[in-house]
Amino acid sequence: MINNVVVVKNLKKYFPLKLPWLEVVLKKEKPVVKAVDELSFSIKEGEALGLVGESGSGKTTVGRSIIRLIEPTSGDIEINNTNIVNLKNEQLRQARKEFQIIFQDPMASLNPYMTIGKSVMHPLEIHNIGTPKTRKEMVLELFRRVNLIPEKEFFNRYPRQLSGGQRQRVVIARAIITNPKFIVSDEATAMLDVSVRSQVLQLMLEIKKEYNLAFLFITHDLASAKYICERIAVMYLGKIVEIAATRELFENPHHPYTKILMSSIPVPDPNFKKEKIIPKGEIPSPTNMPTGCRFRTRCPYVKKECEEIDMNLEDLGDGHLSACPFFK
Amino acid sequence: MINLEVKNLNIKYRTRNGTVHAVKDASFFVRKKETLGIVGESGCGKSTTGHAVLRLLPPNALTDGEVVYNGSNILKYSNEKMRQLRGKDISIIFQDPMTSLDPIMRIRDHFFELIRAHNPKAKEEEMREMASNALESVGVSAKRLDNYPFEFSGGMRQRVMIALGITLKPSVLIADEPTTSLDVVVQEQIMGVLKDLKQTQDMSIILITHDLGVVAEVADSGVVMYAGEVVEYADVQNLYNNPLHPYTQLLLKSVPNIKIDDMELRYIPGSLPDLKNIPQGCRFKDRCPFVKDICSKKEPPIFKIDEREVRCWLYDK
Ligand SMILES: Nc1ncnc2c1ncn2[C@@H]1O[C@H](COP(=O)(O)OP(=O)(O)OP(=O)(O)O)[C@@H](O)[C@H]1O
Ligand SMILES: Nc1ncnc2c1ncn2[C@@H]1O[C@H](COP(=O)(O)OP(=O)(O)O)[C@@H](O)[C@H]1O
Ligand code: SF4
Ligand SMILES: [Mg+2]
Ligand SMILES: [Mg+2]
Repeated sequence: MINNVVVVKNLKKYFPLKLPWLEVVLKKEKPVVKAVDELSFSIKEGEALGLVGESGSGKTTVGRSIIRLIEPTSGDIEINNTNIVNLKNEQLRQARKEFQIIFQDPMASLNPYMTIGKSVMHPLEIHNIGTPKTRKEMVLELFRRVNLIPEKEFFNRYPRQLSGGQRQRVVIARAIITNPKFIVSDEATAMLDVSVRSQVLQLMLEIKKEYNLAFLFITHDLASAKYICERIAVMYLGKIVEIAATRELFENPHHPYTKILMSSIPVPDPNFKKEKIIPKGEIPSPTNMPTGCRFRTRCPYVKKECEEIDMNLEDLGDGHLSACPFFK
Repeated sequence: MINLEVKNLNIKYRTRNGTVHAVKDASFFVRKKETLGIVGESGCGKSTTGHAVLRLLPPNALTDGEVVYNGSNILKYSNEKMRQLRGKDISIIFQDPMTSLDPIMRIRDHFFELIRAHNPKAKEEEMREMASNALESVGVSAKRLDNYPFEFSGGMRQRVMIALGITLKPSVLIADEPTTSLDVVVQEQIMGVLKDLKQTQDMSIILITHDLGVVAEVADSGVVMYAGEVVEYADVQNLYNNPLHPYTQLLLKSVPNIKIDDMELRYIPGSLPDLKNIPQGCRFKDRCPFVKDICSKKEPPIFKIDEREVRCWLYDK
């Protein structure tokens, strides 16, 4: 039995909505944006779970809440058998060695005045791993691993002296230097050009295998998710609408939103003629969420009953879950 | 029938730290009812090329070459003649929809301003009719003419931009990354709109993008740019099924394709050369797996093979 490294149960993140004070006074309920609403999933050792969906669907909020970069409104988050929701400052700081995040913009996540060698060494110092001498050795070894060669020369460079792809490899090195169990990657390759993006994707895949990492791979690019992930979860307006093994999801999507998403991906092959399913309109504002199925305002197959359904994920077998009761 | 042709286009930007040769010797054309895709990575000169066609480059740009439309080189037109041509014969949709609509102007006023610029005597009723038709053709209700830009989502704003671009029924539409900031589902809707327009309005489209998938889907022919040069130019079938230039070949192997299971991804080692300091020889030589002696000595010319073009010494027969 392979262990679950991450188990998330009923995660909620509501952001308070700023309204004119009079409206606030008059309303009984405090208005909120339900950015993430009752989400549950788990990730095994050595497994990458993709989290895909349109802009504003809540992917980043999930990624940040589950490592407590922002505080979840409610829910349980177990990482490596510890429920991190109630950890206090010092305990949380200690626990952080086990989980790391890689952001979209490597320039913004590296200190411009620190050599990249020092930046990558920093987490070792914070967590008191190794001695000053062995720390530098560890960094150099990792630089070789992520192909920043000659590593001694790279050690003394500053972020601005690197290309985008090299910077993202520095960030990956920094994320894995404490030997974590779990990594969140939030659009980590979105800013990279095609010719270097694939190199970073490949590196993430290799690192995941070598370190037996649990990986949450957040992206709006389904083709990258297919390349990296064993399973994929599709989000729409704060809810997971479908989750399945990658191949199964691509060959056999059930939820209408997943079907639309799949049929929208551009395929670099002029002979490929796709079946078009076009949704109506655009994603509604999260402050004005449809009742029942949140997708119903755009769903080409909508019917009366959709106003009433709960969007509960139903198991269709083999870990394939979907939130639409009409397409099974 | 060729609708617009670019011949030996050269563009240099003068900057404080030297001259950037942003586009070098680019030539291509687009026929009526056809879409030409211009693909390449960021900084390779796609936008510069597109903007140069309409003479919209900043003052530090030096342009040389020809842009032939209706039998004459429009780079030689007077400013007034050029103003008349913009929007009416050739129009452009910019990369960033957020900044190209004026936030304090209603949508209808954007249309009215455009129409009046070409026909100062246009009546309000007539202008409303034109604007409504354009909006409806991109799937936006004419009821929204009185809204402000902030009342639209990103995808809707981009549609408004396209509607503005086609209001005067231009014969060439230049679309610079029209969907780059949008989600795939909305991108798909907009690509559908562009495809329809090409048929119903008899238009040629020059579609600038970094997405090889988008070009495969909507274009008839494609130009691949690398570091300011056109390195390959062919119809899409040949471009994707039998790419000639090493860069095109590697690029196609670097993009994940959802229709291929367990795909092996390649990548291109190294990075783009500095355009202020172009090395001698082929611009791709430091990253090319097939590099030969001559590649570092002499810049490869364009070689013509059947109906296609490729800038690489491997085709010097
Ligand atoms: N600090 C905040 N305060 C209020 N609302 C927020 C905040 N952060 C996010 N939201 C809202 O929560 C929802 C989810 O946002 P989130 O950034 O998680 O989406 P995403 O899926 O990561 O989008 P993208 O693909 O654009 O990165 C959005 O409606 C967003 O506007
Ligand atoms: N106004 C400008 N002044 C100086 N250099 C510029 C200017 N605009 C673009 N460039 C440079 O010209 C080259 C091509 O840019 P651009 O046409 O925007 O590329 P793309 O659209 O393919 O990303 C780049 O090296 C860019 O930095
Ligand atoms: S000219 Fe030489 S270096 Fe350039 S692409 Fe062709 S083979 Fe490669
Ligand atoms: Mg995000
Ligand atoms: Mg551009």
